[in-house]
Amino acid sequence: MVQTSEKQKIELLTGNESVATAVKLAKPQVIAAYPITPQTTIVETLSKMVAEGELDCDYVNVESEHSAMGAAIGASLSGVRTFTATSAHGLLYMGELVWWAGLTRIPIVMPVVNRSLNPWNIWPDHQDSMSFRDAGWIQFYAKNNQEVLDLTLCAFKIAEHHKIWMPVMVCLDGFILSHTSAQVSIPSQKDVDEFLPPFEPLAILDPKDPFAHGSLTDSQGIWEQRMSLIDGFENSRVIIPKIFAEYAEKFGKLGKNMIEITGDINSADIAIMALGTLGEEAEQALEVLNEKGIKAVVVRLRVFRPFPRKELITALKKVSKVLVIDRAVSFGNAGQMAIEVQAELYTHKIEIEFHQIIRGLGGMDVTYMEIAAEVEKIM
Amino acid sequence: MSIKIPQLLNRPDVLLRGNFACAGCGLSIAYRTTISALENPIVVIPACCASVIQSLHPNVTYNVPTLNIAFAAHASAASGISRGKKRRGEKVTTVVWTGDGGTYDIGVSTWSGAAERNEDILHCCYDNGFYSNTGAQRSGATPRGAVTTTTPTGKTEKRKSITRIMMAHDIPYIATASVGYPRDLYTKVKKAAQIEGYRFILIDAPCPTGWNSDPAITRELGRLAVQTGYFPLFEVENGKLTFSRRSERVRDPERRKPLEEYLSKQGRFKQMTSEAIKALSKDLQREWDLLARFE
Repeated sequence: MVQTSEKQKIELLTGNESVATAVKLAKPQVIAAYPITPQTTIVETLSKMVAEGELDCDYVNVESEHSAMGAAIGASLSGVRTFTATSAHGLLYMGELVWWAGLTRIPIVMPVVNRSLNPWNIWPDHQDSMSFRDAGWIQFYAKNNQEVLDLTLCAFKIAEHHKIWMPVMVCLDGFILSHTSAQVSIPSQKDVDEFLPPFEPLAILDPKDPFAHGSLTDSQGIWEQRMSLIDGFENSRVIIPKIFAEYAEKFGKLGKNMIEITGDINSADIAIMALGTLGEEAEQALEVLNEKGIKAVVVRLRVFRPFPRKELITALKKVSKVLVIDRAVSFGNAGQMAIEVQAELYTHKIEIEFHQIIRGLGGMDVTYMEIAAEVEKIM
Repeated sequence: MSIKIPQLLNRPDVLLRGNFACAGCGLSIAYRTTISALENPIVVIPACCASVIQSLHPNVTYNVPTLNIAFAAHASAASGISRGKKRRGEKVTTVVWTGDGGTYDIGVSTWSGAAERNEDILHCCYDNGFYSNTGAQRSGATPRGAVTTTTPTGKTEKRKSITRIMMAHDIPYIATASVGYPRDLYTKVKKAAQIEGYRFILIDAPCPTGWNSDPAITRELGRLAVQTGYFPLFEVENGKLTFSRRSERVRDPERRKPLEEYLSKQGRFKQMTSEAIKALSKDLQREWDLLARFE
């Protein structure tokens, strides 16, 4: 049951219902979406909300994901808050326009309900969203349904901040979160309205003031636009923690940091890094390890783009070992997060023992016992 | 609706000087005639000649708001604009402006979806029967026998009937028009502008560069296409087809100018044998007969 009222309240919501609830509170004016497992229940829930008048919004039932992103781009440039959602092959199919939105900075919010790619498999891994880490989108990875709701609400405010003005992808693991119910605290509409002001377009298609968006651009122009995008990401490094902090103060959820550290980093020997639900699973491993006398912490990147270098380096300086668990592969090299963490360690001359594993592909279960065993092997 | 010549002369200047169009470009005539007939247009342009002739960023020769978008995303982006502007309470005319590649081939899914939803969009396709922007490759709109850079000995398949496919969507308005008859085009655009929902206008737009024709005879080629029965002009309103006056006049093949007169003025048809011309002629008549069933 998805319901919101004037007071903050707790309900049992699936991850996808948490997305839909956050979207309803954010009041987008155009939603364009196409079904794909395991994202489908997000758009089903939202279309029901629109049909029943709970959400005053145009719901465009497009004929493909490519068109979902196309419509989202058009709607956003018409001057309204815009939302879409997808998974796996849907993300790949809209890929051309995911890049379009990223490189031309269209502030769309889109959850990606993580699912493996072909051969057909509907279960979670991060191969889909990781394939788009370079596409000019801010990327969040949620560990539980509460964080799904919190990050989705923050995503609108972050995407639409005039010093950022970029699309945001909120990634949540398929089925583990999307179809599993958990307690979620839902803020009131009044509080959300205070936190998230109405959409204020920075660029708008307006017959009174014509301009051409995305027109033929020479190398100098492309250079300027890419540099501006890089600047936008640099701005986001500063603004995202501020918005997280504002959210935390108002709703008591979500820390102010782009990374979450579970355990005592000052006494830990090893840091375990993993995204999304794998990060939460790793938290469970801490107790097992503690019983065996191993002092470990979980360093989970809540934000993957921008890559939270500063926070990460501050944390990893305090441990002597790190184990990075990736749920996707950059074929021909290694797990994406492992590659990026290694780069930071090298750049900052942090000489700690580095370990990496790839787990959980195609929805393969990864238990806290298994994670603990991997840590034990290293120690 | 009767449009007077002074009305055509006093249109807003939608296409400014300094654009990159070739001499004798049919698209520029089509664009200027169409867009100048509209109130508060917002134009969505996918990959096509229209996306490159507008000049280099930050210069723009289109004097109307323009969204350049990926090849197969025109009608979806336009759907978003149309919906968003309605939400904002702004009255605009959302236009999809594509070449034949974007309409006949790669963009079918996006416009078919938008047409099925009956989005409030005016979809205009300037049709030169091939991929002009990338240097004259074959498209679904290329007629049988025409030489393109990917059909060097002439296309062996018939031209796709986009209007009949569009008719299957039961949208409120479909028309064909030609740059050879700008007043007819202007009138049809004005009429389409009064209708709400998905509207489609197919515009025959000669391309001297790709057709290997004299840039000075673009208008004449447009007229010959109609007079020889190569490009029939008609309107379809709520499922009922009406041939436009100039095509009604040549409904009887006997009253048409010889097809050779049209073909011989274009390098792309130079290699056609009389048999090939017969085959093309047969395609054209078949299309006429099929269209007539909807009268």
